Amino acid sequence: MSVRSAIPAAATPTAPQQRARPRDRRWLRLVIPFAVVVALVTGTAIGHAMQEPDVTDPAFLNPASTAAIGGARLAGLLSARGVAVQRVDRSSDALVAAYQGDATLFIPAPGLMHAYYLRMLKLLPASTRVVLVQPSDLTLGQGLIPVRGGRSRWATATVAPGCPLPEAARAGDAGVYHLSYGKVVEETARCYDGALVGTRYAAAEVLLVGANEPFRNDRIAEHGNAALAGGLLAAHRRVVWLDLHRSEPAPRVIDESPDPGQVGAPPSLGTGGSPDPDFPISGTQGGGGAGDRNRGGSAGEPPTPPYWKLLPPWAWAALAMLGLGALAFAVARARRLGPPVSEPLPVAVRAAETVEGRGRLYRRAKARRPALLTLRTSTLNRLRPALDIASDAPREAVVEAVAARTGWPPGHVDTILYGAEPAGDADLVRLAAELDHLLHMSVDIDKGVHP
Amino acid sequence: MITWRPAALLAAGAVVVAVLPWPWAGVAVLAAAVATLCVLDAALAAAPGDVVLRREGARQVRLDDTTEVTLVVTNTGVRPLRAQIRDAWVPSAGATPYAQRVDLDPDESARLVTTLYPTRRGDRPAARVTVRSYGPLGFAYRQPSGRRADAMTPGWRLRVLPRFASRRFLAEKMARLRVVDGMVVTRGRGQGTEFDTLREYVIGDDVRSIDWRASARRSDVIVRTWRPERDRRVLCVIDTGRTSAARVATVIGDRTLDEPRLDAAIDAALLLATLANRAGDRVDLLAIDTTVRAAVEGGTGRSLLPRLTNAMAPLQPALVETDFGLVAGEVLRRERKRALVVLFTALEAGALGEGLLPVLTQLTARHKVVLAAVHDPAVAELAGRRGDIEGVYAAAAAHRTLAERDRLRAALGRHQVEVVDAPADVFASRVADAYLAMKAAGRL
Repeated sequence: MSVRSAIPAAATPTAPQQRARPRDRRWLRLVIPFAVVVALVTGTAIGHAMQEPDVTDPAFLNPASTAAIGGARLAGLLSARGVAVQRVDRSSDALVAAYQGDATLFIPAPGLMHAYYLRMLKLLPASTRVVLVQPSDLTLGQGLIPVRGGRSRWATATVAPGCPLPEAARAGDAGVYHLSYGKVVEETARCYDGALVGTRYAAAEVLLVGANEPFRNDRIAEHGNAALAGGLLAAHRRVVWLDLHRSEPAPRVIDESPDPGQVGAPPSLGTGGSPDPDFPISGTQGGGGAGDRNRGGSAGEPPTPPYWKLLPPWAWAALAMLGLGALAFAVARARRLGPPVSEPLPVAVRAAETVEGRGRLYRRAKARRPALLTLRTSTLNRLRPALDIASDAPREAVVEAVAARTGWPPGHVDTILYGAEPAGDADLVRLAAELDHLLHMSVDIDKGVHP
Repeated sequence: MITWRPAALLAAGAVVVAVLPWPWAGVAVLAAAVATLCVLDAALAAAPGDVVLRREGARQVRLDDTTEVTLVVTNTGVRPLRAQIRDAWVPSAGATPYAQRVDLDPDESARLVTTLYPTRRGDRPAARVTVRSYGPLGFAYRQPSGRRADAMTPGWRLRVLPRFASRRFLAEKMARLRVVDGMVVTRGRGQGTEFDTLREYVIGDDVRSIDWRASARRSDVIVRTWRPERDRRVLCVIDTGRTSAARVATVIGDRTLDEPRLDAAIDAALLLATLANRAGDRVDLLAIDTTVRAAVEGGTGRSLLPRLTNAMAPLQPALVETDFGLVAGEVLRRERKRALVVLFTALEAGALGEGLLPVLTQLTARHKVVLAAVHDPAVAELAGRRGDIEGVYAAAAAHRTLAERDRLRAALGRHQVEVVDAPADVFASRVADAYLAMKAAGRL
């Protein structure tokens, strides 16, 4: 007389200690995916940053540097083609030198130039060509250069020129596609899928190159890079090479112009040098330059009030109180009255699952013959006792007996019970229906033969 | 932690700071004041650790019945306790209400009644009692969580007994048992093989049962009466392996339940045990898959049924292949005398053909074996499907399953195993009928 019951462990997950264990590590489920994503993103960003040359590095496209990112090979190439390379390290000097005309102004790091100097490119004469290396959309916008930035790539690609610009056509494929440029006012050239665009900026011819690779020592030998870089810079007798490695201060502007009809210009350019009455640099006269906005309304018109002045202080204080109240309410609602309780669920297996699965398997395998055979066998098994046929009776005897009971022609009965393999799905459905019909005709279905 | 009240106070403070001459200072002062109030209130709340919890009430309940378990809350601290208490159970215990409020002075206790309406058989444990003790202002509360809350929770386990829906057949089966027993209609020989008693001949008695020797002694015609065998042994073997996990549709009254095959087996075993117990037979129980899950031995008398229900209540299907070698071994070890072994399993060619048939001769050599299997009406329904190609293939698969089942039944029949194969709603009744038929025929 003893009662013993061993319960499966899965049915009794009740002890609190047992449940506590998996919960302790649950934070990992949240942290691990984020950590992996953050690690991947950080690693990729660091790797990319290491691949990109640093424009503030003194060696970067320096005509005297033989480092990988230097420009000594380009300078040598230019010298070999009889072009004089004049290295300058200040923008103002570069502008003055280029202002004399018949020169190429090569700017490897336009982002480091002050925006005012970039705007002064407009002052250059028509016989000066300006080559900007990889200027960003921001740089272009600040310099008021009429080109919009376009797509940028993760790494530089080699593309075909696809334009009639002679320098590009001579160079052929070149690895210049890192940045591509979008809309250009007064476009003079568009090569390499927009990675090399030319424009007329006032009088000067400005060329924008979307990558620094063609000029660098380590890449100049690849593809048509050397031909492209040399061709772009050797258009004139002289190259003014702006070797700039740190951000420049703003130019000192002559505020009091002696002539009211003229505007200020940098001292090195002298006064009265501007051919452009809209020249945007101005000291005290308003004019909507970026400098005006930055200085916060020193001009005549009233400045727009900052947004926090739009409401009186008491309203902001009341809003702060309401915000605090909402925060407190969120905190109050945050804590549950005890954790949710999980239910130890039993397994759910439907009894007919295997049968349905086998049916689907038949269908996928298009097993018409086995399916029909099964149906025929089962029909025959039900016909035999009803018609008093021995289980080993020959085919003819069965057909004869069934035909006699149903009144159907024996040939038809034979086709149904022993006929050929069904040709298609429709044929199988029809035969199954006829088997059913035959069975109904032969057996009084109310007698309840075993299913 | 805080309640909604400080939040409301802060929101109301928005009006106050709007009319103050120095609004930002007002914001700072008000926020600091509310924060201080919250901290003070939490500090003045009764310590939840001083609350002592105890449980009393029902230990077991039949499925579909309602019961109550009481949580006795005693405040042993020095401060009055104003708290909200949630007595959490597993969802299938059907515990209501969600939470209850108590206001207790020191050394006072309250009884919180939780009503339980379990929706599943087996052991339903209480999970955790959470006490949220509010401060005097109702601004903040203290609520232990995690290990501290588990430590103060008194454990409780409610055993939910099987439904025993087949009780509805019991009256009818008992009536038939009485007929078999000879208590209602005496039909003489053939109703049993055991000598019962001698009594006077009445017209209609079978003359073959006249005991001439006794008649000579008593100078009256005396007949022998016979009764069915008593004190036979019935062993219910419930297979809790993977086939018992399959869900079969059961219609009870106006409800359709989708219960595992195991539940139908338990139901039928209960009816059979009740009936056999009334008929004076000994009933044993064995629930087994790869190990013995439950066993009740030597049950007779009134205590049998509660013990059986109690042993069967926590049974759950296990997703393992039943070891029929172990089944045969256990049956032979437990039943030395000839017994009726009712094996509750499924008529599945894979499971029985490879597992049971090889060891069946060991069982049938000593015992009478009945194999009781619930079948799924869905298979028969599938067998009748026609119309589209999908239906025909499903019907073919169903016919094949049925054919396999028939072959298996024939194979079992060759071993003199009786097979009861019925849908779940009449399954218990059919099993009882098989038992009664054997009892009547004296084949036990």
